[in-house]
Amino acid sequence: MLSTNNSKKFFLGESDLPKQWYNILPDLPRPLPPIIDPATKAPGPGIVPRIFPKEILAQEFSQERRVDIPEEVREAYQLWRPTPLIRAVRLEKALKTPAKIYYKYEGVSPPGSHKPNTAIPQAYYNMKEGAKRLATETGAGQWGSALAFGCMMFGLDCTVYMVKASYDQKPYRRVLMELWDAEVHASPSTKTKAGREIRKRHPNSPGSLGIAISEAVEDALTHDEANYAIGSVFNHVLMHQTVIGLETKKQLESMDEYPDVIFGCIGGGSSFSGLFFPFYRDKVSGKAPKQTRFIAIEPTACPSITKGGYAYDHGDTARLTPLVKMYTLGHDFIPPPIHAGGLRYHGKAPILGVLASEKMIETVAYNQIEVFEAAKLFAQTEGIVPAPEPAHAIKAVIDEALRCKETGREETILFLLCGHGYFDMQAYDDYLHGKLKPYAYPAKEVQESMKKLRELYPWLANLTY
Amino acid sequence: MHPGISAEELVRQEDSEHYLRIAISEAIEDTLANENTRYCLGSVLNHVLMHQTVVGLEAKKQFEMLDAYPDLAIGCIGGGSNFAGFSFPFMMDKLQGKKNTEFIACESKAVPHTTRGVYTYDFGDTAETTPLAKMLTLGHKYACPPIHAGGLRYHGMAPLISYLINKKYMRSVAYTQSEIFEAAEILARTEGLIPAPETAHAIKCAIDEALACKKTGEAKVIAFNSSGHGLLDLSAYEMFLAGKLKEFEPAKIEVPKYVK
Repeated sequence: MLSTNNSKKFFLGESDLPKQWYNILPDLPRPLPPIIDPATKAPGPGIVPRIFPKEILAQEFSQERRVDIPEEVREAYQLWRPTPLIRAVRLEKALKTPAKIYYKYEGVSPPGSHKPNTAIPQAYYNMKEGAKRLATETGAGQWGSALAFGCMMFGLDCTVYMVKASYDQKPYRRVLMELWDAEVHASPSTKTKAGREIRKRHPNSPGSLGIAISEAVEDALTHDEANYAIGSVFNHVLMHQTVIGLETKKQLESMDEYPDVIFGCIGGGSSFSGLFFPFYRDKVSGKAPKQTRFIAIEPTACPSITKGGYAYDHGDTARLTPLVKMYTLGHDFIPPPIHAGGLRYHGKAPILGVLASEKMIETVAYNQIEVFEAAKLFAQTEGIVPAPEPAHAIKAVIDEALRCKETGREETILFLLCGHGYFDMQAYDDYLHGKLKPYAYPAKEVQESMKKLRELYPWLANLTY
Repeated sequence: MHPGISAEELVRQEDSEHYLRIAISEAIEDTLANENTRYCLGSVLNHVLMHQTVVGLEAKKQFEMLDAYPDLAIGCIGGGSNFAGFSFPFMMDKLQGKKNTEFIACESKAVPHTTRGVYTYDFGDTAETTPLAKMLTLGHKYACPPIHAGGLRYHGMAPLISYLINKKYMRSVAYTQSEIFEAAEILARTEGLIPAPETAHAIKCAIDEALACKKTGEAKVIAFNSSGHGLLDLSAYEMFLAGKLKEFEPAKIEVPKYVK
């Protein structure tokens, strides 16, 4: 450890790379509501066992608190991990705040985000169990490029269904995926029944993550050599991401620091979960030196927790996936065209559903104009251009630091900078030229989606989970 | 490939707004005309090369931690600052007779300032506002073709690098666009990193040297400077993957001599 208290960046050696992930399931305040198979109207995993390898399935439902990280996965992680923890000294000065602001930076990975933390192990377990190809969906391309990278590491083919709006507007992440040898289709595509049906009904459909998931799942279900991989929401994905928080804890320990508050953006919820779960473990095991608050930030354009319902819903538009209890805007949600592509999913991880409904985490929402204002201040003080997704967290951090200025509280603030914004320059260009709109998703739309869901599955009202 | 086309003809094929040396003239004129403005240069000059030595000084310490020392130090050269920064702390050992590392500077065949240029006094800009500096140059009117490695499109080379190449402390090699993107693709598919097209020149050289070691069985330590990522250059990669890259290699280069 080279760090001192005057340091700007806190590095760990490669030997400090965690050897185990942290699984939060045994530490939840109440058990996770079971997956419901709509065919039987009873608990059951539906198609899930047919699209994942056995080890991933075991992890999805595991009650083991610590799960070993395979040596081959740690070796692949070493390409960029451990990632730095950085103190935002210049941002603190610009805000004149007594608070200390630290951020864990995941943008140093080859795909430029936290996503390979789970792409690598998912590709690894699939390779071990004989899969030849993985199919997946991607919005703006963060997850698709991470899985392309992961598949390349372990010699698997990779097929990515990319939401058409992003495929057309953001060609460069597609090029990145192709450079890493993946096959990329604009979704809805003609490759799947789900895609063809949507194209028939809506010839100009811009696509959505829900549609792309339907296509990737169908691809995996209809091809023996292929499995499916998902970039967020599922328990095993959140667990893989805990390498982030486990490293961060070590880095903060090295300077005798502990966060008063932890911020992160949520799309499906995996990056924020990866950061705060290890600190949550401290809290529930009575080891935390502070009553740390965990605050998730979502866009007002996709406000699953702040405006959505906590209900059983499908993960995809074509309703191939089973029902899971989560905060949702409805599986037919078509996201407004905001630039934070990674935050445009209708549902949030079921684990976060339990934690939010039990008031173990707080949630706030911001519109994209205030988010880009915060991103600009960050770029102008710290130099790193953040992706629009973590810029949501930056907005919340700045607000908190300004509250500290008023109250004089010397809080230690921690947030996750889950990716850089080099692929989002068009969004910054639009922001700098005043072309962004402060979109807020109407509560009425959510109520209608929830009503449709109740009409679709009236028997859901009888479930007590 | 443009066989038989002279530099002058290449100039005519391209919009004159594409040249760095014209932009330099503009920036200098702006500075001279405005009292509160100063000029900054991103490469070529001695102080810029010196600032970049943090790169090599860190690398040297890191090699010490590994108990290793590079047999080969490789970098791409546009104005020369990244390679100078990376290699000079090792060059110090060579100049003091302590080590015999081989230094290889990599450039584009479209802008072959050190492999085909002349070691002479030349201007740094088109409008001839800068003083004359002795360097390896293609002439300050040279029409740098529109290759994707924008950072390598400058007619001259840092006087310090030019001196070292002229005195044979360093050697230089030149590559085509296709060669360097093929090398970049190998790096992307093995190490995961997407290099900038400039950096890809150094990667091409490192790969060639590693393959030469495969033949001879020598276990050389090869160090190259990965000077930048290519995430803002993916349109160039898109053209490469689509087989649409063009090659530019002037058949004839005539460098006017200003001072003998």
